Amino acid sequence: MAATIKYGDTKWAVKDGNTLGYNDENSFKPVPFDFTRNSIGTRVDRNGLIETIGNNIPRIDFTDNTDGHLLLEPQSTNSLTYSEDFSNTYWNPNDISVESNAATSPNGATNAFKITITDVTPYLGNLNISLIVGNTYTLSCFVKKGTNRWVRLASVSSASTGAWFDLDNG
Amino acid sequence: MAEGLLDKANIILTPTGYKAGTMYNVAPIEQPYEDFVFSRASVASRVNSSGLVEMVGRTLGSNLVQNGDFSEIGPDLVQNGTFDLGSELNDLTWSAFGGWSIVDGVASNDGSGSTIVNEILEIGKTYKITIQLSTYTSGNFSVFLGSGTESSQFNGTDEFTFYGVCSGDAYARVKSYSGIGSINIQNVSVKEVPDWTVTDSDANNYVEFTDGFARLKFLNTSPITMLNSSLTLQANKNYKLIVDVHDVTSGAIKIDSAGMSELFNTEGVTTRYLNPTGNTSLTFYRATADVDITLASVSVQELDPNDYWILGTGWSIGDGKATSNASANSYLNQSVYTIGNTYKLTFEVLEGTIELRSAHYSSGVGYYATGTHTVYVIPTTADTNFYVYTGFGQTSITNIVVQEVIDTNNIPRINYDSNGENGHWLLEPTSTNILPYSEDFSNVTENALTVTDNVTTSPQGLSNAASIIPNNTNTVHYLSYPNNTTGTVTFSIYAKSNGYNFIFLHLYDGSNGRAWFNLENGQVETTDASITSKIESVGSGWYRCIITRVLTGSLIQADIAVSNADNTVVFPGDGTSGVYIWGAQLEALPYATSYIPTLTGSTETRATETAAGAGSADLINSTEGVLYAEIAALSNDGTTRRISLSDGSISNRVSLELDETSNKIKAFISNGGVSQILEYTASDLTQYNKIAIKYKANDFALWLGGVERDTDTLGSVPIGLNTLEFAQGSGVQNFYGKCKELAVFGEALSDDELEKLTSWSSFNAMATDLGYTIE
Repeated sequence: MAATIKYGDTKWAVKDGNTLGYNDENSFKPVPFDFTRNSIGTRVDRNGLIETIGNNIPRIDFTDNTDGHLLLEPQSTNSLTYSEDFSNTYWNPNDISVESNAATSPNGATNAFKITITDVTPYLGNLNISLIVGNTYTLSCFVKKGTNRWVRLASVSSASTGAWFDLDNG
Repeated sequence: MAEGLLDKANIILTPTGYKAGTMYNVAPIEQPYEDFVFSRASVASRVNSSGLVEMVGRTLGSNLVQNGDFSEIGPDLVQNGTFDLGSELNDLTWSAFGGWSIVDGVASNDGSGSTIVNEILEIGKTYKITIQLSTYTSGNFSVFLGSGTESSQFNGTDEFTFYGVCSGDAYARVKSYSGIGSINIQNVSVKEVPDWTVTDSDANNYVEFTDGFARLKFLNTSPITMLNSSLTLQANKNYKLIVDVHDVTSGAIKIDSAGMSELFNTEGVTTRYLNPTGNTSLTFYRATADVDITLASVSVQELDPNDYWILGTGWSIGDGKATSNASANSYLNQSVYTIGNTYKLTFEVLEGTIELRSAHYSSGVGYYATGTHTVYVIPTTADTNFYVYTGFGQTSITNIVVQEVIDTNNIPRINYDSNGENGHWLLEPTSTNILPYSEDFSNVTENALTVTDNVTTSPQGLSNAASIIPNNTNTVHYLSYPNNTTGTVTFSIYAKSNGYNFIFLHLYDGSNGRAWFNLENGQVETTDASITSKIESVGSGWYRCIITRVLTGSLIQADIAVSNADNTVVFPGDGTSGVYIWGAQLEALPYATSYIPTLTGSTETRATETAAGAGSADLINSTEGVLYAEIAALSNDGTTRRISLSDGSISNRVSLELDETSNKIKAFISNGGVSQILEYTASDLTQYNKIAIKYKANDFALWLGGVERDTDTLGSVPIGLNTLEFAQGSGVQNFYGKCKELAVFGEALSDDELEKLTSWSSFNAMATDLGYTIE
């Protein structure tokens, strides 16, 4: 029996239900790991683009490095729907215009939206989601500067909550 | 094979060389090679090194049809189509009679009414004679072309021209009618108009031939003056007529005989196709009064001059096609077939409908409307028998090609992955594609979609894939194969997105058995619990979509449906989006085997493959050795598949077995029917695994993936080993699967050697063999 088991170290291989470890003493011998995830997931691929991975296929993620790593995450649910379609009536624009397919998104497709201020109280709100008091939520969005430097993510339309992001200096 | 081990192997088989009936060993390198004897009593398909599906052993013969595009055309049959005049015939040897006298080349007449003559004509030919009186005093004159053809009378010193056909005798004459005048006989011009005649002409109805033109001046309505070519058009032949009308001053002319009626009244080059019903000359008549039309040239060429085609009533050839005017139920024929053979018949219907009738074909029967069609036919008569029915309307056909499908059995298959890599011997069990017309979906029952065959490149690399496009109805859009098969069946189809990204396959036995295939990302999505499913990328956007079902009772139908989303059955199509499909297959196995084309209306069977008879007692050591194979199972299908060294029986053997139990391998070392059995359950035997069995008295081991998986230290070795086969030793329990390498060593290798033999030299090679995607 192989004396050592290695996994990764830039040697990545995956398939449905498995990722491949190895023993490299004398020659290469397979040491497969079983893997399950009963859903799709996303990862950052070797080109830095966000990519969807199918059920039960392990994710080798290349966020911020080219060596890659096995990404194992807990279950999580995106409470927002239409996460890539801000023109849907699910979203509520106020003093703001929404233009679809206006730029290349982080997944490499031309499917990013451009939002443009049209009056004094601009926001792209969502009134269809009910947040529970006392629970912790994380709100995130991929943003790139268009003509305005600042963007604020907030849970209510108030200057007292949320955070401002400077898209000029990150 | 690992470095340093090649020289130790007595027998090595890799996917390298073959011929019909033989798989060549790469070792031994000297005779006797002791190669494998291969058999398969049919042709079969493989994926070649270009990643394309191709038939191994199947070729197409040369095109048997002559002039299938109806382009063959004979030489110009009109001898003088450009109305050229012959050379000058006036040889100045005129004889004077009566009041005429000739002095110094000038003929003078004293008015007594007689002639000068010159025997320069030929009866029956047409001539142009131009004459001018050099001096004139009184009276009238005329010219004769022979004794029987006289012009109108002329006088004065203007030039006078007369055209006519020589008759009576061969003399050209100038006759005086009691007038006085002189003719410089050097100024008399007599030229033949070759191959054209003018009949029933008079002073107001005639043809002038001048400088390569024929000017038809039929000013009155009678007589019926005609310009006749010397050409006779033959009954039921087909001709291409080109007429260059140089000028139309007034009126119209026509060809109007033997069923032909063609009008000419516009300037320019006009092409007409003629199909005379009887023998007839090429003759131009007046079509109106007051005709003044000048022709520059006339050309007639026979179409299909070698008479390759036999035309039934109403058929004609012209403009690169054969056309039926639907005047009768009739055939277009060429005798090309040998009855009972299979042929690939390709043709293009330009208008109307062609029928291949059951009276002449046992396969390929059907109606073929406008479009290009490829039909595999089995004729029951020798003729092509393209049939039209009066109700079809005018029908045209062209580009007819007939090639015999020639099959050569027993050719082994070196198969490749769809990227053209990973060559391996492919050995499969017999299987029958139950679905007829696996590439001709126009023969399949359709619901709410449009089928168009031969619209894009298939996985075969040919433009023979079909498109299916749902219509606007909010319903299920599918092709359906009724079938009553029982047991376990696998249904497969090659598919590619063409606007819609989903198909679902359905094996319906009274309850649903469906799976949705995403043709955009190559994923199987919603799948009914009653089936198992699989999708395989085969390159260029094509996927092979596969479902397997253990039927409850009998199958009712197998359906291929287009969808616009996962788990969606009913939707309205947009009328333009659809999917491409090719190669439908339904077989009574729990997995899909290589594609079996059913080119005709019949099922098709790929026969069992066997490979045996390799090696000899000199190459196989019964005392100790190693049997090594790098193999992949086709499926965990619950069957036993073996590769064996043996003495020709099951009693003395070393067998490597893919077991009935999923992913289990076994090693049998049998001596006189007493077996040592080693076994191991691998991760996935449908991927390539490197497996070795070491045998030596009281020292047996099973290695897989660089690791010794099982051992036995008590037992005897077989005796009399002398043959290697892809079976259990007695010709049964055949091995079906993929084999990249098979080797026999004449000594029990060391553990270090076995580890190297059954492992890989690189991570990537290992991952690829085991079916992983390298990140």
